[in-house]
Amino acid sequence: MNVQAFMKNRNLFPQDDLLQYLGQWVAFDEFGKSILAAAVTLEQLETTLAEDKIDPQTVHFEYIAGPDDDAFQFSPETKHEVSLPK
Amino acid sequence: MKFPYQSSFIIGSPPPSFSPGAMLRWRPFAPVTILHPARNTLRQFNRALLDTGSDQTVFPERLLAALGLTSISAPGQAIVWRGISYAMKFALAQFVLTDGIDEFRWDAIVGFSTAPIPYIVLGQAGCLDYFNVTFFGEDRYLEIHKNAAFPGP
Repeated sequence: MNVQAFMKNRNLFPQDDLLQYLGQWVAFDEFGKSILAAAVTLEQLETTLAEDKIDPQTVHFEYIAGPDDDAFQFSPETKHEVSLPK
Repeated sequence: MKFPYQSSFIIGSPPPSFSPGAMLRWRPFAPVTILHPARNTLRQFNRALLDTGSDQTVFPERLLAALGLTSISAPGQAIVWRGISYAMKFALAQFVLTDGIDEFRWDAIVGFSTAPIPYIVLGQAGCLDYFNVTFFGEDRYLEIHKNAAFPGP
């Protein structure tokens, strides 16, 4: 895998072509030049890849943020759920 | 190792804090590969956020099954995303950060969750603890170096 080539191609990927994938996970080919499959969830995307006989280990997964994601995002908060004494 | 920030669309009007007419927001993402430590199974993600505000490194839970990772018992551990609490599982996995020239490869126990976070979170435990990272906001790239705590070669 040539990471530099992938990143260069991915960064040159036409923004307009991404609009149809807003709010979806996509699988870029190993060169970052084309989108092989897309789905709303990662699970569905892997199912689609399997149906199309595409090895999921050869693709690059990416989520294309959509309208529901267009908000300021903060770090997830992690916690250990415990019952405090009353 | 350097990674350029990556962009995503601003849908609608940009907030007043952004440049007028801005159409994209930029975040310090890097591509990351997660592997089973012993098997030849992996997944590559183009966007992993180097998130200094996150205690944990978090991947989608479905990777546990997809990669055959062994979950470690961690009752009560949870992650809150957009106000909703999700149980968090943990597993040992291997990770690769590379810019195509250099490579950082290490094993760590990280979190896995069904929380619908739209990117991989590279937080303190399992990742950022092992690196010194500088963010170059004006030029929109980050530079990352492993530190003495790095658990790999």
